[in-house]
Amino acid sequence: MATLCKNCSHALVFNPATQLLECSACGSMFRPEEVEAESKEYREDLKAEAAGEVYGDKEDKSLMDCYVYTCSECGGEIIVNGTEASTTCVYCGNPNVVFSRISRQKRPEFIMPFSVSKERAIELARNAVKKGVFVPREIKNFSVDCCRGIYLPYWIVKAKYADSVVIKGQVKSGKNSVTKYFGRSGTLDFDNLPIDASKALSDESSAKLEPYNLFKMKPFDEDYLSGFYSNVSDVTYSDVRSAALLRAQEFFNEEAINDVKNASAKEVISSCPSIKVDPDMVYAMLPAWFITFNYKGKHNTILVNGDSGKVVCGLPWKKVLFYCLLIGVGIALTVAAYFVFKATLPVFFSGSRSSSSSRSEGRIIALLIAGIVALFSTGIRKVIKVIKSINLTQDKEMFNFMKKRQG
Amino acid sequence: MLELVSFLFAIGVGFGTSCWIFGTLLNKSNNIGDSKGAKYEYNTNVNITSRSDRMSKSESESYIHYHAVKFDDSYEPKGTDLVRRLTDEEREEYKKMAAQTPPKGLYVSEKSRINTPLADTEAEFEEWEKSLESDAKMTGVFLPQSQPEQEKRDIRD
Repeated sequence: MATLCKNCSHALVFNPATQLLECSACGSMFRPEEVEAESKEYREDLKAEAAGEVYGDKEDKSLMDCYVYTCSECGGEIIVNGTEASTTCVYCGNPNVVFSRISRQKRPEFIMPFSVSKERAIELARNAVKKGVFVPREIKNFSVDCCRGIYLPYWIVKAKYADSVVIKGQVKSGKNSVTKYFGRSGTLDFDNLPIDASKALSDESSAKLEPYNLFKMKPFDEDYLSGFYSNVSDVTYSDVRSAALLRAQEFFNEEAINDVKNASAKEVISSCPSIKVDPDMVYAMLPAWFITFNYKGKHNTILVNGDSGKVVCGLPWKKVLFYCLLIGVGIALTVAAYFVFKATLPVFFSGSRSSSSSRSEGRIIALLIAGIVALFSTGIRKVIKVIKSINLTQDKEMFNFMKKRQG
Repeated sequence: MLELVSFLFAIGVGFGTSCWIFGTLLNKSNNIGDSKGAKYEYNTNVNITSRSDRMSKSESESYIHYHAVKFDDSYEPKGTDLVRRLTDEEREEYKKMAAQTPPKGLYVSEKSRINTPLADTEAEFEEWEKSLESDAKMTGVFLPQSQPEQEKRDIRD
């Protein structure tokens, strides 16, 4: 069911550039607050029915998460999944909102309307991908396969966190450094932490869309959904607690490590976190653009924050160039380091030394070995971490979340 | 022998540095928007209530036991329930329960926890001996795995 134009009864669509509901037929524009929607009570009764029941085959597992909703404009049957709240009719192209999924207790309290238009989102994405050294030329001028604006469900969480951590660090002791342990205990309070409420979208990806300027949220009105897709919440309290605990732990560990002075190579080695999440959470819908393009037969997704315009994506990279440069520079640095070590190491391995100087030289060698191993493992870990992060937004689940919708 | 050692060290330094440089370049080039919201955006307030510096390994093993706090979540919704908006009655009920159940420490230490200053070596040694004796009696969530043996204290710098 869509909100209709008062002048010509065509479906209205929300335009982020003007922040108004616009009629594409007669050009009329209305503010969402001004549009007096006819009573929506009867529309709340128009439910999406399980596809298995509609098509008479309850045993067909392929229909399990499919629901059938009737388009209010043309009467066509729209297929939606278990959590979609708004979509576009594949027959007439008009927006449709599944009111039964956002009514009464399931109704979001707030919505942040899109302020970045589709064209602007694509422009921002193009500007972001142009700069990379390892980005293939075909991607720098990618052609958009599909671009959809989706309202993502979020729970805005207030929580109290307590933790007690032990931090290991290196402290200078004369010429050497010794390992010491530092304890920090305390509490952390936060409110207004947005936690993604959709199981289909990974928390890692949705967290990268932050920050959202929550002051721009408005009281929820279905009219803002017009022309966009949306999902409703399907997470449990356990999911929200786990996500909030992880974020709180990151913040607390950072503070605790910064609180320890005069030590280096600090890391948290043990902790005992506890969190209490206020179950009175605020339910809101926040905007994001999902832009996909095809590269070598694989779908890639670029996310754009629909409020701030922040671009999030992990782009395919020129593997051959990367590894050739890495190995080439590695060999050059190895050769240089070899001559340096060959000149300096004989100083430590000559036989005629007193026992005390041998001991200190032994310590220096041990520190050198530890430093080299640490440098090597840090370098390898950095490359692995970056590759994993890049692959996150190339994940098929992300693509399916965006693509498997009508219209 | 010397050449072999130099070669091994050089490989570690050369390829380690190269991986670090190109990992950073790849991150800047192809991993766009890899950041999350900062603490201040969520009105985050961190309050460190206890500090212990330069502990030995044995002290660090019991630190968490003495200072950790666990919240009572027995009155909160079940983890398997879908998150939903609370009704007014549920909200009032939750506020009452939350006020009645403050967080509990795993083990309440007799000493003050706030900004514990470093005592001199003798006083610390005496406290440490007392804590060993009380370890044997307490029934906390995290029990020490074994009675720590008497060992010479490290001379502090």
